[in-house]
Amino acid sequence: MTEVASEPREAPPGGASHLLQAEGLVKDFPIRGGVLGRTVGRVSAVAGVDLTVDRGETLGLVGESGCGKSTTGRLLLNLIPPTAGSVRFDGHLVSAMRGKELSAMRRRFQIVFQDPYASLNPRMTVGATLSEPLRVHLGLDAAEADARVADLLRTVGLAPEHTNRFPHEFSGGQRQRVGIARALALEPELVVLDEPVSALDVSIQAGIVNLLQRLQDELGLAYVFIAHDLSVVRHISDRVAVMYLGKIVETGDRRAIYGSPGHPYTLALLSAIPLPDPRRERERRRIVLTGDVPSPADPPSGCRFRTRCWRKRQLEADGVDTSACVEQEPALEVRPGSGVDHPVACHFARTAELV
Amino acid sequence: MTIVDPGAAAAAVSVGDAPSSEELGEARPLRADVWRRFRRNRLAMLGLGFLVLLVLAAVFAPLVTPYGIKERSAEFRAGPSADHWFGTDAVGRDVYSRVVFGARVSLRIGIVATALSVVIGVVVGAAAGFFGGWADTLISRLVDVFLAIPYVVLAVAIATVLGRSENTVILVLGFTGWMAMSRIVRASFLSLRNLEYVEAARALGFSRRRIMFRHILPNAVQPVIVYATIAVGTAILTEAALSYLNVGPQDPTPAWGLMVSQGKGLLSNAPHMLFFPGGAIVLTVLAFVFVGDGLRDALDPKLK
Amino acid sequence: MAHVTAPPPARRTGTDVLLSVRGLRAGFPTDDGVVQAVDGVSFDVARGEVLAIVGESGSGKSVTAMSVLGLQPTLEVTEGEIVWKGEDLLTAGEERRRAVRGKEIAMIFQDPLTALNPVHTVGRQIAEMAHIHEGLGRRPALERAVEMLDLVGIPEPRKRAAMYPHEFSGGMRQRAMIAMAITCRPDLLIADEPTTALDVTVQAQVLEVLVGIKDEIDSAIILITHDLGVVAGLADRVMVMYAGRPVEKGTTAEIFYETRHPYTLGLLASLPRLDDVGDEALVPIVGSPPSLIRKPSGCAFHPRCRFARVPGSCESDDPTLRLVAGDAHLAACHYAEELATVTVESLRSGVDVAGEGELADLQVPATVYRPGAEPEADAVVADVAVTEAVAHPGVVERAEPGAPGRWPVDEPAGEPAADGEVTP
Repeated sequence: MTEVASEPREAPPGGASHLLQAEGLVKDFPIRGGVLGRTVGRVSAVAGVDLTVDRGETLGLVGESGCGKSTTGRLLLNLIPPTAGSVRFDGHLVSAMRGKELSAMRRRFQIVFQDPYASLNPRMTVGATLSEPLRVHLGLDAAEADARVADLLRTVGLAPEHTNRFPHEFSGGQRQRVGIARALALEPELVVLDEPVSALDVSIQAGIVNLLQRLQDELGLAYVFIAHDLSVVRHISDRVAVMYLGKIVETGDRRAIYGSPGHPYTLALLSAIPLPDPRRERERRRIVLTGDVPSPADPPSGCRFRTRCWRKRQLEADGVDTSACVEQEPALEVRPGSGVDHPVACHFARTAELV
Repeated sequence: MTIVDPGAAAAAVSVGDAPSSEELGEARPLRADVWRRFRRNRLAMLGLGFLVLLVLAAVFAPLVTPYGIKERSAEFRAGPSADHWFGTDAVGRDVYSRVVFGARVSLRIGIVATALSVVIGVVVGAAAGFFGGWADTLISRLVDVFLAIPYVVLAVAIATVLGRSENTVILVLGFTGWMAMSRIVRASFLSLRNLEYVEAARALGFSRRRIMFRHILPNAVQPVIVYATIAVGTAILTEAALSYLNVGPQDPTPAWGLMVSQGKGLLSNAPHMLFFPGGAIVLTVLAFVFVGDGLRDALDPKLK
Repeated sequence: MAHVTAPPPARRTGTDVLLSVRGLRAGFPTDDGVVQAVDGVSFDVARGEVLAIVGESGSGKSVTAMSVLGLQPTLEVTEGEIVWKGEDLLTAGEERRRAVRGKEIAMIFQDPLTALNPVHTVGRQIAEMAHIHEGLGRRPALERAVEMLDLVGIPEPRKRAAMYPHEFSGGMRQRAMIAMAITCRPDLLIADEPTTALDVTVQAQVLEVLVGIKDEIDSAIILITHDLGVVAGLADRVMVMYAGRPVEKGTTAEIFYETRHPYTLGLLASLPRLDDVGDEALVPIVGSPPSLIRKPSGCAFHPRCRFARVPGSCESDDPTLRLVAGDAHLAACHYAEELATVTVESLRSGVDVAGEGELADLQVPATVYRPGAEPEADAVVADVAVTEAVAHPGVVERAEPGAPGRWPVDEPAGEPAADGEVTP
């Protein structure tokens, strides 16, 4: 069903070139049934993902709902254990860590969630929420923690006076700022941002995106920015990975993904995003996909996108043999001669003019 | 177009930002909001008022009653009069005094039995919900087994071993009431465990104990409070049922259920013997239910 | 390919006005006062046209639609007229409204899962519409349902009609909702965020269906959305709402290319765009939308407006929606005419495209130092803002000599000014 992940190789800690390196990440969720909750099937949410993040850069992870991008984000932080594969952070094999060792490591990578209403404990004041990690991890006393909390609030654009307020007293954008402050409290090197703006109003989103960019510049943070909105991802990312049904189908730097996309899914995704510009919007070529995303419990053989692939149909109409799409899973690699200079998981990778 | 109240306008301007943030003017702890919402519910306030009176009456029972619970007069089964407001019972005891003292018994049974089932239920439910997996399956099936035991049979069994008394009733109610509680706690733990702020706590590397006690438990107590309030009423009702079956407290304990039971045979001659303790049960149970419902609404942040 | 229906200069099909809303005011009574969700809204919809109502949460765009249909029992319409084909629905009585609802005006909701009844098959729910409004018998009604499912592009419609909503995917459900809405070939479709819950590739499918249907049954559409991209592709005319009122109305081209209200400009400038070339800055709108119980004085947008003149007319006088350009381009801003030289691009790049006004040196944007803001908040803001403002000079003096206002044209990547969420 899923490709066998490569055995994690042991690398000496500290000697890694990437800040974060994931190899062959797989996550299956069991489907339980019956009185005793026996496993009756498996959903492969993430089916073999390799990726790297360097210090200070932003990797955009995009895809539609159910593509496994959020699960990937949680696997990267070992918030859920992988079924197979490995995650290294600064050379340390995080995916094998447990208990105290992992707790100590968590200071270095953090997460910001999508829903600003669910991501803050409603019974704790903002101050308590922000000072808790400082006390637990750094052993700060009350006064030291308070001073640091005031700094944090200022950093994210809130007033220090807000420290005694409860989450329900804040607007969505302000709560999201608190969530960001919490993630920054322990001065991490990497932050996974899981759809950090998609629950916010348009005019508020821009403020949060700008804040994230400023913090990255000031603190040298690395981001994994998970989103379904390709426009926001374009704005904030250095490199982008596009996911479909548990796999990365295309990856490259921003210019490559947005300038010369090679995977038919990426092309469809890009063309489906409406532009807030009536003339261009009405003139552009649009690729409308048919059908829906197949169930991850029963993914198609070969290429996972083939059931909705417009290029496959085009090629078939031209009399090209597309049996490889059904029989062989396309590897994520650069295909010489395709005209696409970055890794694409498509047997027939090539780019097309879009915007 | 809109007529703006000049005062409000000035206030808005001085803040220099949208009024939505002006609402931040004063820190509002959750508790104040809960009380504000609770107060709006008339029935709940009525119930609360009744319960306050009942508790006061129970505490100061000797001061507000003219007779003792065992004191007998020469009049048997007499109707209400100036001397005996609620009349007298079959052996000449003052029904009013016994009903007031009975509040002590009923409240004690209701509250202690509920406390017992809350403690057991929360521990069991929290364990199932927090650990999940095999522990959850095991505990949940165990709860199902307990749910299948008829509490009346259990009551008779315990009463046979320990003898009929208030404490027996408390034990019976405590050991039969916790299952529903544990299910509630388990369900709310399961849903809270997946909330993002709990995940954030895990991402921050907090210990399981800290997450359980600081982040999950305080947020899981709301349904427990609501259910427990209503459960006190139910326990009082169950005490009445057990007394009716002769496994409750024994005479001369002024338990309301026992008094109803004693009055049932004399309904046509002396209806007051059944009416007053019965009415006390109905009003008290209703009051707890009203307060419980009011709390449910007040604690629900979605109804803000 | 998808919704290349009309060129931007909107086509208005004659004067065949179907719906005419006049001076509508509606609100929800609460303990804290009336939430004035709709506060003076007027608009027309003509046959065959797409009117987009745009705004953020709490702008009153959905409530406006609900008032037209009379679907919200707790909503109190206090003033105004809703004239449907010459008849005021507000005085028409419930019987008449029910007859109009579904048959002549149909609604497409955001969340099809909650809008479809889970215990009936999709086919039966669609057939019910035909049965109630047209008195069709069981079999012909079901036939109609199958026909409608086919029309919205659901494969194997006969088989699908016998299925329950939970057996449909999200996109399929939304199409089933559209099928239900068009069963009686209504004259007006009200689509409330019809694609917000959908993935973008599925959104494209659904929008394509919606536009195709419109032409097929020759109806008008009121499209309620916060997505300016969808508006750009579909709408003939646009009404932008803020705090319960329209702040700008015009053709789609006018709204996007000749924007005359700071809020509309703000919305456009805050969007990251797929067709950006480099690293254009996002320009957020400061603060958050106002409470609908106590709105700000004067112009409701003035606390968040980067062009507001405070103290001055913006905080004292409520601007009326007035003709500002062309023959039907309306805006509710005292200084709408002066915005003619400000474009989204000039806002985002800090370059004054129109060439009017000169770049003043190192001016801190007015939004950062707003008179009346409390000192602590200022301190917070100033911390970062000043340095960034210095790094991004871009304040243009545009006001007449002697006028108090300064017109910041660039909002520097200036996060904290963006803030506004800094509450004094």
